[in-house]
Amino acid sequence: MQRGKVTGVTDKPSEEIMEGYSVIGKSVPRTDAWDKVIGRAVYTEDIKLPNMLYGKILRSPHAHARIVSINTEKAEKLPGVKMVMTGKDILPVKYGIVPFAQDEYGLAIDKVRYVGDDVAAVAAVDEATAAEALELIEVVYEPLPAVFTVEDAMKDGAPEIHEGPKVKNNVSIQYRKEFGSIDKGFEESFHIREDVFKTHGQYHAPLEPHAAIAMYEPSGKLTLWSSTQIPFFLRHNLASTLGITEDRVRVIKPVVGGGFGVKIDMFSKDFCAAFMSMKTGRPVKMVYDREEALTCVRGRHPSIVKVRTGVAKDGRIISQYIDLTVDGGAYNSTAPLIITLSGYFAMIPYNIPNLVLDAKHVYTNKYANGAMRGHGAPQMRFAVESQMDILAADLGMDALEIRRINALEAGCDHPAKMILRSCGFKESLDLAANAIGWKEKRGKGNFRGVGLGGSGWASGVNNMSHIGGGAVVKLEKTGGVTVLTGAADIGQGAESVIAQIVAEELGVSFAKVRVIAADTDVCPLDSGTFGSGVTVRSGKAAQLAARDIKKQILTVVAKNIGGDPEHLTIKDDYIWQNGQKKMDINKAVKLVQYADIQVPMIGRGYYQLPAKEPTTLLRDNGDISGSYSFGTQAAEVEVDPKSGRVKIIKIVTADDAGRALNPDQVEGQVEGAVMTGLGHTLFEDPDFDMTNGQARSTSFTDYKLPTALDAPDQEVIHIETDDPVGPFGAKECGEGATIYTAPAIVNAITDAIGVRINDLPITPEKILRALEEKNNKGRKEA
Amino acid sequence: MATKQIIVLNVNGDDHEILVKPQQTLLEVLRETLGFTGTKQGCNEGSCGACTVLVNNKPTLACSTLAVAAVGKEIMTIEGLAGQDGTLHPIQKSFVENGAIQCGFCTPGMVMSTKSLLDRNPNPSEEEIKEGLSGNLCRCTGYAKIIKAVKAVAAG
Amino acid sequence: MTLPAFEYHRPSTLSEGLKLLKNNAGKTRPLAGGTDLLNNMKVGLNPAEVLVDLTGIESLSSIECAVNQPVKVGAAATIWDLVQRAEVKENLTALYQAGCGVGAIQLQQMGTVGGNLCQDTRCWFYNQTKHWRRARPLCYKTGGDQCLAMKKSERCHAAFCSDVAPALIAYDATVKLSSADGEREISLADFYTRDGKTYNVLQAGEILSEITVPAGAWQTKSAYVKLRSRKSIDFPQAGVAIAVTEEGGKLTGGKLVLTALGSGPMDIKGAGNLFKGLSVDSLDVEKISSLARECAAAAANDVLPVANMTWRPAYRRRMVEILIEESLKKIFINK
Repeated sequence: MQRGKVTGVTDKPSEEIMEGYSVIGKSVPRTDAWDKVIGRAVYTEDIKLPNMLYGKILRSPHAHARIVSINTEKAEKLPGVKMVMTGKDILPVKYGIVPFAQDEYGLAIDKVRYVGDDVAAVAAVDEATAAEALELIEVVYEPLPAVFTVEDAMKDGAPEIHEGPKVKNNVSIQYRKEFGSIDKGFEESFHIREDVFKTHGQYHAPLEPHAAIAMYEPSGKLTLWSSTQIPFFLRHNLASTLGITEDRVRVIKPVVGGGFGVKIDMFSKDFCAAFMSMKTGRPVKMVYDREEALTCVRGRHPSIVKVRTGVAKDGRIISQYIDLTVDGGAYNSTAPLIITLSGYFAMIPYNIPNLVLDAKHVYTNKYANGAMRGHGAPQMRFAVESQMDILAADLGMDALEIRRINALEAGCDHPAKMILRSCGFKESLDLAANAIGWKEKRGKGNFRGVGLGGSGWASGVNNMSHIGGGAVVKLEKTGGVTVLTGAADIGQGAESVIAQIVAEELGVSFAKVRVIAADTDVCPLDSGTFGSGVTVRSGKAAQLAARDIKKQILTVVAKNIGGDPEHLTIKDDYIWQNGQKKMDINKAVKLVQYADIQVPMIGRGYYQLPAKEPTTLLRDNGDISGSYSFGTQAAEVEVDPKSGRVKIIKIVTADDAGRALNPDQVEGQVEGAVMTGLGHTLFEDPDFDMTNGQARSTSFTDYKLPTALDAPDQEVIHIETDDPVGPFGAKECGEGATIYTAPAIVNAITDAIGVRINDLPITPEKILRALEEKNNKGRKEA
Repeated sequence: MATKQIIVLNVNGDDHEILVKPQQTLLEVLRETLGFTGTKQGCNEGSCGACTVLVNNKPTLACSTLAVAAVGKEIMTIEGLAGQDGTLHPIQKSFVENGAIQCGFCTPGMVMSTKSLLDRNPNPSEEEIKEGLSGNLCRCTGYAKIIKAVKAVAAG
Repeated sequence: MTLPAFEYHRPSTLSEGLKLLKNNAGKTRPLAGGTDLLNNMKVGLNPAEVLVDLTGIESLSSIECAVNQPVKVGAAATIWDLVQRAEVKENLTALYQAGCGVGAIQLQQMGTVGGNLCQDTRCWFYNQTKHWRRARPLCYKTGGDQCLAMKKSERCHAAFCSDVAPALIAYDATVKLSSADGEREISLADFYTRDGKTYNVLQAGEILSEITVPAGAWQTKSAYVKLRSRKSIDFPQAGVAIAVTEEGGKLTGGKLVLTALGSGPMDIKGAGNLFKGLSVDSLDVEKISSLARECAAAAANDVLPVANMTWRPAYRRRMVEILIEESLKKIFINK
């Protein structure tokens, strides 16, 4: 494990940039670390309310079936059971992430579409009674033919998983992205190459299982505590499915124990807890078992990516055609997003003048997939980055060189009109390659190898209607600062970084800033944690709110001491004028109080990335985000040719996340992302049984999250760019680094064994098979 | 059948007299009956380490232990580690200072496993640290900062 | 997931415990570390109305362990307490390596030696929640009339996944089985049946109470190697224990025992002859490779992995030779 280095690639040396800041760029301990380390942080599962009931969900044993009847009588009669509900009791209102792709009910109505689909719910005096009641619910199903692969699902005559005119052959969403002319591009190409890549599913597997507690009060107010990434969106979905107005619903996000995308959607635990609390008048708590929290929520989309690329003799990419099919499982969830994001991250980080992407999202009778760290990009980058190495080999080029030649740069005229205000990609290539020892180690064979993978990622996704965030900064009489933000900290440290931003902007010490977040009744609207947008969007809103209140204070102070408020500033708890300390902040606060201006002292901020209306997600060229992170990972591996086992010796990440507001936290994001990518590449696998679509890895025994002993040596190199969009130059750092781990490792394995595997995960068995095929081929050729 | 019984559990030095059913796990009783919610339920099947507590100084999965079987033993949870006056234990301090905490859900178990490791081996090598923590899953950190925190506190 | 209701007893003497087991025969199970039994019970497996906790019986937790003496281990002694002893670590290498291979530290400190030997067999159609299993017919192990992993088979193919058993069998360990009606001592190898459902010979009311490793074990050189996806937590997907004896620079015999490749540990009968007479000095990397190949060939008929865990049967079968080779290297080269 190496310390991250700061390497300036802007025109100013980094030391100079940092000089002016008091808390930005410093690895201050997180605001919530103390509570967490003494066990006092309160997660949803830790909350207990008076008179509370416990809820559980009955799930379908069929992959695809019509619900003929449900008899709840026996369950209702069990002592301690207070309520049993089924799809018949609820409003037939569909919900989902993207309005035009909504296809889910709070509980199944008429039909179940995967083993685990939500059929009924029970609320009882304790968990054991609720579990016992589930056994007493009698459901008659009429099983229907089911499909478990996208190939089968798209065949003519395949069972219709969702009926209706919008869906044909189970293709629920299709998308074509096109610019330039690929035909012309392929004609002009010196060399054309087509390969097919496959990626498998992955569970997000945050350590905290999904949980919710609903409390309905006679006044008509519903409060839901939920382990959610998007409190405001959950409020919206709850209100619409329950048939009440949003102002009657309050969603509070307690401390959340990890999300990675799997806590974006509303789940039956939210809906049913709310519904049953409204009916029983008692609080209802629901906590998913580990199996449910793995197999009845969301996962990463398995994919098939066909890539045809035409290159010039010197390695420049001229034309690219990509055919992407993702396995959506039983519901759409983020369907339009996964395929468009895959598309956007086919256009980054290389210059591709002519490109066509044909993408399909296909229903199958397996659990639904949704947003997961990198959301579509890991699939796309695994394919394209693998093919970059293949193309380099075809052309007799160095795999680093072909990437350098094609790398996008800041200010470039992007073929799809993306705007790259800052871009440290080229630097990341060189830094990662150097750190892994590219020149000395590449191409040496002998079952040891190095490989590269690169990508970029969005700092929040804007090209899909209004995605913004608000913030309020309150100055307390005693000089303390309270920030209200809708941002949802799910463990990534959002609250802490927002506190740093406010402290810096307002010029007060970090310890004075308190953040109150993610309570829809108290905090301003925010679009929540997804697409790595929190620091840029909510952080910027908080910065603007701090700036607003700073201006108010300085106006009063200027009146008092004379001079132009523009020439005043606040730093390190003092008011400064022309480089001179003038008064401490507490005195300034007092002045404001005696100035008879409005109290409370509040600053307001709102930030929204430029967006078009209506949603342009599936159509226009253009920008999907205000800024993009870039990075390269380099992996060094060793393969045991006898067992096929892979040892990951080292992974270097050179990452342009703009300015690192908290370098330790940025490093932590990267290190965690790498392990998630490593697990997916090597041994994490839901392992679907193709006879009925069930995932076989349903526990932490069988689903193999990497352990501490599986952690390789990691080096993280920060490439500091000063992006003009984000607060203090920050860009995203939460997801990008997981996107290119698979290609880095796979390219390194290829370098080590001289043969390539195009489908994930890379099991020892596949390596042995690949080696055998290579040897057989070698023998034949000899 | 399973009759409830009154038992005394010694948690963090205090005796608690409580009524339990034999089938209640130590985890359930710590969290639900006694309110020691710092001990987390990550999998409830003995595979993630989030519920690690010390029972007679042994790192123990509370989810795989019956409460009735913990009678007469000294149970220490994360709540019992910091000083009475609120000062953090050096391990806790090191976790905070070294960025070893993200979502925090694995943290209490991770800290208890670290305590157990350092109690039996005050100067562990990096490999021994990894071994000592290999029963505690973390999805956020990639373990790097946690290992760093343990190294830092071991070095004193 | 909550545990089903049961009655709990914590006897303080063995005779009291055995009486409880006898009186409740058919509806009782002994409880030790709990890591296997309790987590199975949570998902509706290993049903029992009465649990008899053996950890309160002092005699069952004792360990007598001195170099060159038979090792006597109470069944309820923890894996950790046994394998972390300096004498074991230094001399009974396979046992040490097997113990350190069990799950993770917590499971080694909680889990007992007897519990590890008596652990339930595993299968991905079996070690699932009630809800998951409901999507399929019952199998032999859950009271049905088929094996879901091996269609048309006459028996259950759940895999025996103990790390400790193969190491102990390699040392010719014996076990004492006790019941209220008496006790018997059998070899640990004979304790297992190779049937996934009824995987050991314990009668109703009978427990495995003591393990004896004969004094000869101290003279062996041994190793245990397991195949796993991750470096921790995982059960073995194949495992190899080897113990050899040596006199005057020549091997006089040895044992090869496999685990997780069938429904019981497999003591490969032909292996001893393959070792016998080999000169230790001659065992270089190449010789070890060919010896491993011969050993694997001798084991081929006993190995029966089926598709019931992460890695496919063909790979696990293929890895037998590699694991044997790694074990032999540990013994003769890396030491």
